[in-house]
Amino acid sequence: MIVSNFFDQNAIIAVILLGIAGGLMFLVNSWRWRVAGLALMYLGVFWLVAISWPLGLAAIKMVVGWMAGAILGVSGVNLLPPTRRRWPTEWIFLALAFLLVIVAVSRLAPVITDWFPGCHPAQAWGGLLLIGTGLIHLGVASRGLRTILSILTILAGFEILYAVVETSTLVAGLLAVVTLGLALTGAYLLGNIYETENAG
Amino acid sequence: MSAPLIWIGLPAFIGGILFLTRGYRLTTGIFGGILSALLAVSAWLLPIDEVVPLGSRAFEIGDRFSILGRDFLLLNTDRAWLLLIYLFLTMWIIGSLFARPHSGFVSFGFVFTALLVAALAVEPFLYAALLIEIAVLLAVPFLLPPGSQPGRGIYRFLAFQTLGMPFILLAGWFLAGLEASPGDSALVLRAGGLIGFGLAFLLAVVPFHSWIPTLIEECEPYLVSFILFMLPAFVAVFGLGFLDRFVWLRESEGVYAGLRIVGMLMILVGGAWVAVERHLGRMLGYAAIIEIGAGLMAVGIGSSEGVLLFFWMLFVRIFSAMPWAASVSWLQEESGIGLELPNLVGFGHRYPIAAGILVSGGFSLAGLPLLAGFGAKFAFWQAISSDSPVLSLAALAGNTGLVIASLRALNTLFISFPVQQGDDQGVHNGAFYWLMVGLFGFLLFVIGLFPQVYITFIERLLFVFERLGA
Repeated sequence: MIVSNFFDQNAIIAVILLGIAGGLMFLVNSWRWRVAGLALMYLGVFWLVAISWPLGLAAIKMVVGWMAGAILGVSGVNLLPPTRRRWPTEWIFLALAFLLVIVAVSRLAPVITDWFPGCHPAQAWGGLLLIGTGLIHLGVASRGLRTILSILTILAGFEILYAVVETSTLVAGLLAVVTLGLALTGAYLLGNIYETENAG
Repeated sequence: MSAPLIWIGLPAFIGGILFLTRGYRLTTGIFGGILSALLAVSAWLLPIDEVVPLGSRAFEIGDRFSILGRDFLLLNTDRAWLLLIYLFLTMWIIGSLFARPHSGFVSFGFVFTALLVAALAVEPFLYAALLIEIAVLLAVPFLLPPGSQPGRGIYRFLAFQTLGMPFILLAGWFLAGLEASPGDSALVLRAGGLIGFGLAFLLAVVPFHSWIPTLIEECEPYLVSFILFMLPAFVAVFGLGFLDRFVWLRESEGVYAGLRIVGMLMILVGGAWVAVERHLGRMLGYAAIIEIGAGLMAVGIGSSEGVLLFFWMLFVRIFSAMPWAASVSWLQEESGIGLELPNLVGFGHRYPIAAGILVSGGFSLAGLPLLAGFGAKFAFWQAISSDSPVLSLAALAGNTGLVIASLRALNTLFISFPVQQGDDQGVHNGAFYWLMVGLFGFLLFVIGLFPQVYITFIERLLFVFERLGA
């Protein structure tokens, strides 16, 4: 109960964590930082889900998310050539897009709290921030780690909002299977890129 | 013994076993085909939740299987649908003997089908979205065998199908709220919008269709065609379940008008692209978009006649789409130079029957007379033209694109070319080749001639939906 209150009262920290995580995955080139961003994101997801769910059940989100990060981290992504971004044009464009997401979230968050009774404003902010960042990320990425990370980000944002209305253990389990499945699929695809580029 | 164990658990188990024997391609294919046919026959013969005397004993197949507090429910009225699904699987497995996709196809087919049947059987129904997503995730390694370069199509497939899931899950929650307060128009709007978006992603409705042609170009056409056939069929039946269950959806004229317009757009867009397409695989993809659109338009008629037409078109599609996909895959392997039309000039002279089936498959999907798709498409155009003439004209224009594409394929494949030494080396005269092409030709031409043989079975499919089919 005390822990749950702590999460509730300090939920703004989780939103800041999610903002940093989303920014890391979206803006940074290094795969290490992106996977670190993913781990940070699932910490924030756990925090916000714990407001509505028992702590043990909410911890599933973090454990599964970290496992997904670990799977992607060992998938051979380190063996692929790094992607480069043009400085400063591309960076400015992406930063502006990220800013646009934040502005859109500030307008939409009150609507979401209205849609889902019992939704903490921080949950609406966190969920929408991840969905928005993930969608923008998906829009600029066509393949590779970026696509998988963006899908996972969108899904994590949805999970925060869905946790407000659904507390079923089976749903939590199936969503965990989907998250891990996405990570495994992503790892498989990344492994295939490495194999074919080396074979070529 | 319960029905979900027979038609969900058993196929999943068979799929697992056949994965171990995938190295023996022909044996696995034959056994897979026989087992799938047995599952179809058992759905035909075995009643669910009724006592069946067997000599001096009696047995009963229960309709429910519970796991982790949730139920999988298959009713006696679902048997027609189960029969159809396992008949489809049997046909695709038989076709795979000819198309020769990679060796895991048969086992994948069983597991994929089992997961989709589970998605329709699970209670509460919103869990279906999660099971469909798991089926999609499972499809990725089968579409792209180890060592193949993943392109944009596979990522788009993954992204669009995954985006559909949250919409359906959230819609499920709003629908539960609607049951408590049925008059809340704001809830109706939200739930309807979420269902619409969710199904649009899952059904690859325009503009979320871009993964289809890209994926089919990157992967084996036969595998992608199988997914393009099975997945929309199940998702559409899942969507029909929404219409059947919720009176506010079923009685909303806006829903049916929306379905007709979206369906027409899909036929128009698919038709426009297929008419100018130069890649045989991508043609198949656009044909799938047209077929999904036709299905939506049929449901948009808004009566049991529309649902009947939806199932009729689905049933005859297997006899056109599968032979087409199989001959495209076969031609790809035989030619070894890709599926771009300019590369295949005159190939019809080397492989006349396979090329003929390829072209006939396209004509059949377009609904040309004497072919498998004719009866269903004729009835469909008749019904839709009396319902909404303007939309039907636009859709007919789109359908013409498919005829143009098939004519272009016919022209390219059978164009006269100077015969050179060695040009006849590719001609196959093996018994197996003739057996397969004979079967495809028989199905393509005979099914369309005798619709009265199977139409009573199609009518039985209406009983799957208690209110919609009434």
